[in-house]
Amino acid sequence: MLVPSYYEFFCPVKILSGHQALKNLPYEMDQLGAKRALIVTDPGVVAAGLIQQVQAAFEGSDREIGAIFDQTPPDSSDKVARQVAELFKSKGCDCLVAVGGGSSIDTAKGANLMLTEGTDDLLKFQGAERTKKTMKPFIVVPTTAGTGSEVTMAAVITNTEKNIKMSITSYKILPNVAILDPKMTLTMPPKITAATGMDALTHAVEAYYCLQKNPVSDSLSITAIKLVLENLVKAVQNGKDEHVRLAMANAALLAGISFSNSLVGVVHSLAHATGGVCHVPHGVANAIFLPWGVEYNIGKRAEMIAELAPLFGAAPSGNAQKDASAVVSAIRDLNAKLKSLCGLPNTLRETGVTEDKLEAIAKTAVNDGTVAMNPEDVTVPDALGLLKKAF
Amino acid sequence: MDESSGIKNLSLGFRAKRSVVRTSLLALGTAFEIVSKSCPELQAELSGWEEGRTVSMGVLPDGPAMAVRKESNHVNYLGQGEHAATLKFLFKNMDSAFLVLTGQLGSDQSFAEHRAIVHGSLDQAMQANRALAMVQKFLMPGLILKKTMKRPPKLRGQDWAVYAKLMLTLTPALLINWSK
Repeated sequence: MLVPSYYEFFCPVKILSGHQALKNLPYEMDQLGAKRALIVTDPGVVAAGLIQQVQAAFEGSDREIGAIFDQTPPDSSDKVARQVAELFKSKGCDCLVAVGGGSSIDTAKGANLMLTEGTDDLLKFQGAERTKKTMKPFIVVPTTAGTGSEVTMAAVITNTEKNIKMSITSYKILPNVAILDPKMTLTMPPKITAATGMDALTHAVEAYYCLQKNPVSDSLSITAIKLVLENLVKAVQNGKDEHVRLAMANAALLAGISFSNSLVGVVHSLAHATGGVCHVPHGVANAIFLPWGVEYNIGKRAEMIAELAPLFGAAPSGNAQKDASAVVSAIRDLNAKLKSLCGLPNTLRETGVTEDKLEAIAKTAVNDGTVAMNPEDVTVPDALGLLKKAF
Repeated sequence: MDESSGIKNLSLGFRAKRSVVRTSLLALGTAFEIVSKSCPELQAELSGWEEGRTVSMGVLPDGPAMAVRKESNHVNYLGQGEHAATLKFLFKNMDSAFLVLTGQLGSDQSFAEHRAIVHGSLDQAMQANRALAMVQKFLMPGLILKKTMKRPPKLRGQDWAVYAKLMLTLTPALLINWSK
């Protein structure tokens, strides 16, 4: 196993995981010195009845919900973050509680940054470590098991005026508390369960072999991979199994901590670009690109990828190339299984992407920051080659 | 980043490293301008930059630093010191800058090890990183490029004419800097 000559690791998020974990939300607010929460969520979470569960958690408590913002769109934007910040101020709230997937969580991160820095312009926070202030109390209740945003120090928010995606990375924007309650993911449909689960697997696998890997992230990645492989198919087959849902929530969280500290590579570059150009959901794109991305890096990282072979059910052969290829095959098998169970697309063509878009995706992909952390170099022709394979 | 401010009683070792870093930044900035005026590959990369985009590279907290600005289809070296920049590459300390600028550590690895950070758009950072790699091809020996780059580039064909032009311009610039 590789111990890098230097690495850093950071995750100060308190984790509450288990049945009825949500009931501790008011207590955690109290611990953070907060009294009045602004809930940030989206219409889908409301429709699934999950906000009622959050409201029920406040019963008998001296903490309260000051307001609910339930209009978070699938892609977070500065405009929406501004609305959240305004609502926070007008309703006298002192704490943000994001209930949802990556978009709601990133919107809350953006709003928190605006509120703390006293600005409505997030452009000046693009890049890394540009705020030093301590944010408002911030609690996250994920309703998907994939993004890991509840434990990542990054937020991707669209600037509506310039039509660009701003990437903001800061140790300060991490939530204070992440609450994993299996009840909050029970209503996820099978296809979204599969896509978000493959998102978590992609985080864990890429974090294991990309440039910023370290012993702490490695251990988290290994556990996350085990949990996904043991539970994802079960979660797709029987979404009402709370134990399986909790396992997947933990997998996503562990993979999130791992990749927040070791970052990801070309699979994410391609997925981000495919999402940007053709609006393919992030988890679906990651699932499609994962086997191709792992295979692409075997030349530089065969031994590291081979270390994962036993987790994927492949007996080590002593030949790193062969074992790494077995990992790729196992991922393809998993994708095929998920396709048969719930229709998870296995190719770009199945998602509606047309071949004429591939070049635009490739050109976008090489400007994604994750390319820098990929072990193998990625040029436009390289990216195009991968896209054609995945098509 | 004001070099005149701040820390006193600097050791000889620190001063030596700072001197190397300052000279390396001068070489990089000068080379960036010269190569951008004659290398088609770099010009193609720069064609995606908007006019006036300013990219700086420096050491926290007090420098040294340098900046280049896109003008027409090339970049102009703006000189050393602090400049208002669209995009900043910042080394967290002198040793980190020394490692990267002397070819002991690759640019991507320096970010992986948190030795450097970006202030500004990551898209633009990736573009600048590729452009800088094209410049480094003319500055660093092949052995160092092999160690620091994922896919080390080689000088080919008309690259040698660019290289000769660079050496003719860069050498006097460095000599003047050393004589100061």
